[in-house]
Amino acid sequence: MNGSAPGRRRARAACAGLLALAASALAACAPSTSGEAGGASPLPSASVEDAASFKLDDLIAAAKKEGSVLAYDGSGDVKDVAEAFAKKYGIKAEGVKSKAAATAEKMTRESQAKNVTIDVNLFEDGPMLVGQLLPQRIVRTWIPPDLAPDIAEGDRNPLMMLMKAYVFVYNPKLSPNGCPVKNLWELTDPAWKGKVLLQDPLGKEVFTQWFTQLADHGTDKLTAAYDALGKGKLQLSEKDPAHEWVKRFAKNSPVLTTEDEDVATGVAAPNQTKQTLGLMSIAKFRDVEQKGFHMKVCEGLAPWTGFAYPKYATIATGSKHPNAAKLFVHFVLEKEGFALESGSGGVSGNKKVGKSPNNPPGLADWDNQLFRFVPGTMTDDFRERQDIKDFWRVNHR
Amino acid sequence: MSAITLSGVVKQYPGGHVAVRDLDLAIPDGSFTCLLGPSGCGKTTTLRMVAGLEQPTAGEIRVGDRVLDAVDRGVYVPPEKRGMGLVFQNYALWPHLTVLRNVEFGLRMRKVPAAARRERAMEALRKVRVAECADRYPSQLSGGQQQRVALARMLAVDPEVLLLDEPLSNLDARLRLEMRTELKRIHDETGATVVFVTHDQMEAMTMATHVAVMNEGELQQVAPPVEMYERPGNRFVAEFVGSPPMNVVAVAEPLGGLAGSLLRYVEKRAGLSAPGCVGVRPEALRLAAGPDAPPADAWSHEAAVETVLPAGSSWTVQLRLDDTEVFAVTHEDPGVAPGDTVRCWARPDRLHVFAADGTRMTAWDDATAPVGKAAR
Amino acid sequence: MAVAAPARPVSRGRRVLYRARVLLREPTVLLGVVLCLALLYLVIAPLVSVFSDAGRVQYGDEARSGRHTGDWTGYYLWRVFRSPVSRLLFWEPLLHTLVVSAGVIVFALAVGGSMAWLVTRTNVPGRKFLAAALVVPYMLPSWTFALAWLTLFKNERSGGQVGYLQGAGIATPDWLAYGPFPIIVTLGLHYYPFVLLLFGNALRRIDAQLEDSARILGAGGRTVLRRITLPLMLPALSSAVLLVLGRVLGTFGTPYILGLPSDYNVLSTSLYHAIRDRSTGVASVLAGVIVLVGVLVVVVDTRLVREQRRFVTVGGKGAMDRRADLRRWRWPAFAVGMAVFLVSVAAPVLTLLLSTVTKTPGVFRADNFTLTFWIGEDIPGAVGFPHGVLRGSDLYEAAWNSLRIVGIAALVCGFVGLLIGYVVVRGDGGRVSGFLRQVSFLPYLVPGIAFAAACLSLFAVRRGPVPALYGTVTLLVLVLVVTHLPYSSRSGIAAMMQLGREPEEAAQVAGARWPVRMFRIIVPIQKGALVTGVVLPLVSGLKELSIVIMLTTSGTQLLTTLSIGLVDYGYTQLANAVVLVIALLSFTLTYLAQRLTRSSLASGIGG
Repeated sequence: MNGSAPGRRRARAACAGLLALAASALAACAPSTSGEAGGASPLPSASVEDAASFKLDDLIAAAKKEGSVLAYDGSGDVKDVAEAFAKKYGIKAEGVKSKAAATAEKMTRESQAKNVTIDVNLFEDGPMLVGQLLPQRIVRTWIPPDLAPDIAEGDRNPLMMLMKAYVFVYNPKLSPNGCPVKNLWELTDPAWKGKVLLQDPLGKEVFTQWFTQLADHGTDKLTAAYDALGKGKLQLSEKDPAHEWVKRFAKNSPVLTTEDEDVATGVAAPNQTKQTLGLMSIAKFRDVEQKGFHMKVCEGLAPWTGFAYPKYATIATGSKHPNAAKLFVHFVLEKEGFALESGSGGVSGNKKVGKSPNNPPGLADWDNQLFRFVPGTMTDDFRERQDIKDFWRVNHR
Repeated sequence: MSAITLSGVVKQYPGGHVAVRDLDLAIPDGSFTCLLGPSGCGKTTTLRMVAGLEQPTAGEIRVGDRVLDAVDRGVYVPPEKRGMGLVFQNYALWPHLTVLRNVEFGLRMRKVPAAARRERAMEALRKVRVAECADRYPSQLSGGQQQRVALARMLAVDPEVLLLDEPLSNLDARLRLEMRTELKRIHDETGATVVFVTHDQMEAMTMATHVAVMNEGELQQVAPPVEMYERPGNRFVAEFVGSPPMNVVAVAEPLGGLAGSLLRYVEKRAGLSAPGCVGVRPEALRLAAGPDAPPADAWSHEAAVETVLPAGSSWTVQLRLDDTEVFAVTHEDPGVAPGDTVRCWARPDRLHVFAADGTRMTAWDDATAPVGKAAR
Repeated sequence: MAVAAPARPVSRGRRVLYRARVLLREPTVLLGVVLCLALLYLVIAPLVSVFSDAGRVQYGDEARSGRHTGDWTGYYLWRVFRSPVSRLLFWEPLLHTLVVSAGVIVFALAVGGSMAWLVTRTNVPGRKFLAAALVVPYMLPSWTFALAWLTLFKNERSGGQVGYLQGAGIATPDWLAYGPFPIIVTLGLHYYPFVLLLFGNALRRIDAQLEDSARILGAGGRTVLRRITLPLMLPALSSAVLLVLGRVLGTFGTPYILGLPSDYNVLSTSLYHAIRDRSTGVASVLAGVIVLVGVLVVVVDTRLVREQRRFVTVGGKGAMDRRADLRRWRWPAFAVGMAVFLVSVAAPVLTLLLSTVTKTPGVFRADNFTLTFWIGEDIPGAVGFPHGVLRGSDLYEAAWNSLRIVGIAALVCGFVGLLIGYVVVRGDGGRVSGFLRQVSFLPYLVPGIAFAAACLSLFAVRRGPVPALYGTVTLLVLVLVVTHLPYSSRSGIAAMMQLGREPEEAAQVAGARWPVRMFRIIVPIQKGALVTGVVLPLVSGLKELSIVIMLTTSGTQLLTTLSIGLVDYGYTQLANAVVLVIALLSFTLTYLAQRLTRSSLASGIGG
């Protein structure tokens, strides 16, 4: 003890010193506020080819020569789309359901390896597209020239194939008099603690994009909705009403799942006995009857019953079947492809095709019932993504 | 020609331990040479170097005119090309092959046609008398049978050099005796050069034509067994060979008593200067019980009988000469009992005198050689 | 007879030549170098890339770190260790990991140890059956337990169907349904077979005379256990702790499923989140920490074992077959064994099986039962998989793919493992053998997803003579081989230790060159070890999900990807049916392999 004590003490002091040094070095690594290196590379422009020289038949012929096409999509509908595509054009087509992040990862790898198998990417994570995949030239936008006149200017880069929606859903069997909630802010009340189900926003980028979009474009309506509650003025503890709502919502212990399927089952399965509310894709209304689920969109929820988000169609830059890929994009922008992707509602990016008639019960007016993403601020969404995730992470109970 | 020559062979392991140091050894063609020594003396290492399973750090190994290892000349022949036969202590029969296939293996490696292969393998098995086990697996054999199969496996390829690494140590006494004669017979039949490693001196003495004694990595003496016994080259060999061991008394600094008596005797008799120690084999130590008086030129000393151990054909008597315990062996009843005081004696030519460094002082042998039997 | 020493000219060059000739003839040298290079490339390189990713700005983080892509930065370290979210990203998960690891180890040791004693040292009825049946949990995919647990105990804190208990009106508290308790129990149930196998083997091998002599010297039963038996078991104990800990550090499936509803993160789930979010930098830091923790444990373990091996004399001779007579406790003990079997095997399997034959899981009415999900010709409303799993070709194709790809990987693993064992044991503790021993075990400590991610970034592009492997089956096989090599190399080393070098030397002296010795002598003698070296990777590879998901392309559907795909589509029943098929397949293969070669899995994990 006595002999080695000074040495040991010195070693301990040195250790402590090193640790302190490391800690301060780490502190110095905090994010720079200057942001000198700027954002990612700029978004490549997307222009329409000369419509006059474009002939669909030539494209079909070229596509047939290539023989096959592989499409990735966040929704399982792509299987049916691929089947229909194959039937129509006689080109072997395969559709694979894959989560957005996984698809992005895979396409990045394939592009690096110059071994591209995924030809078409039907992708709902716009910020990722705009922030990474397009500027890194892993995918590119191709706008069918013959359909271009019917595609709004704002939906062209990246090319929106359709809009889908996430909506709040309740169980009409347990609440026959309509949706038990009238205002989004009610979901932050103790009464709804632990009774709202949704996919974990940390794993579902559409949600984080919804949060950032709300902050950029939805604060007025959120404030108005709070005023309508009759609880007086909204007291902000965060920078804007959107963050305030997200914080209060996160703190109210929403139930997180990995799949929409679990949200639907949790809300609407025949043997459920407690009224809960779920935020889920309208696609879940697909096989409601077969499973005996009782579910209905929460009509009259102020300010919105949910949000509409775009899904984009892009082609892999290094695709070995560029023409087949183009034809596939063309196909999903047409009525036939759209119908298969919107079995339970949606709006096509092609104005001529328009809205799907198959809206789920309780969702009639897309324009007024739903919060709609503004495509122009997707770069901001991408930049703020990590912050909003951290924000959620810190606040979720 | 398959004389084995090791010259200047050193084996040092990576840790620094020296297993064999500067070994010069010539094993004559057709001899049955035993490497004898206590465990850890480097004898197995030497054998494995001859087989090629280990490589010397320095030196040269030859068989006949063929250089197998020559560190300084960069020559190395791998074991599989040395064409030797080796029997391991635990036989190392391959458990997944039948006895016949075990024995055939070496022939297969030499690309002997199937029919001839089988014929020769069976012949080898017959030679060691286990032909009836040909189709069994090694695990179904007794220890003795496994031993024979291992021998057959070695013999089948008809090697000129047979290496055996303590092959009998795992057998019981009876089987061991049987296998000794068997090995002798095989040696006579094949005329091969046999190198046999053992720590059992009985084995070495009974079987070998030549015995090489090693200790701590150094060669002590090479000689035919009888010569080794009768004229041990140094004190280590003298004490190691023979059972019960030779009685050796240090006489370098006599304080009187036994050592003083021996020193005076040796100096007076041969005029030797500064002998280190004097030894006498138990059977050379006689007891002068009763009327037989020791011969006039013999050395003799007072002794107290401590114990008498009869063993049927011989008697071992433990004596105390002053403060030194010694053994005597007689082949007829010594007729003494514990507590008796007797006179013990030995003929001068049965005494072994070693210098201070342990080497044999041959001057003593020359001086005491019986008439008509000239010194070498 | 002594020869006069010839004059020896000192020639350094010639000596080197001699050493070189010997080394060239010594297969372990060449082989060792080749294996070392292969492992450097396949194990060390991916790890280095993980570590370097932790310190470099990744694409998209330029603004945050204030530097350009590829520059060195401490930003990720800051984010993981010091930032406001570091508590959630790292410190809490670290604490949880420690709690879960300790819990699982204690649980597995308690269950596995007592069961090992029961089946090797007592006359409990049905010993043989128990010995075989209690190993089965290892053959079930680990997430099976989590799914079964949720099916039973789930409450409204998570979505989906409520659990059976909740459905029956019994409210299950959150601590029972989610978080550390169920994670520890389910992981413990999955991993106790490791302990069972290792302890069983050790107990069987301990010389009974050692215990007897203590008894004769007056030690009571308890003292013998404490002073003699347990210390002798220490190597097995430390081995078991290491194996269990390595797996617990890297598994994310179970903690993810059971932890999400209560926000209970461990390091592996934190890593999974980072990889899923494509935050490569943070993922690399976390993976690095997990690897470091693992390495630390290995170092401690080697120290401990080195201390122990000095006095452990595990004799073959006294290997005992003497068992304690439980007398009137025989049947109660049997009941305990059966209870463990029921909880760890029957319950999860039956729960899953039940779910596959019900339309709405958890509702037990006659009209709710159906075999449609197994043999139905047409399941209405099911996209992409409109028939029972046994219909159509999907299941069979996936099973064939699984067997083919995992089978090739397992065969390579087994053989390479044996070669590693050969070099390690023959190499006699040289640097090469030490390197091989440690590095071939290293992948065990690296979470599969992290490893797959690293391999992807390394081998996805063309590097030197190695073509871009992305999307090829080769890459999948390669990664499977590397990640499962620890099992094979352990079994290879253990087997070669026991073999000794004489059989090979005998063949060498008989004139056999190295390939002949290897294929005619060593491989046939080590048949059993080779089989375990193949079966363990096979069983664990068949269950492998995370790596497979990351590396397969759409063309190749494996059983696990088929199952998870079905989960994605929401066909729980179909997915569970596939899981059952996986379990059945692993069990059958293990059983057959053990039957045919009389080998034991225990030797495979280094018992």
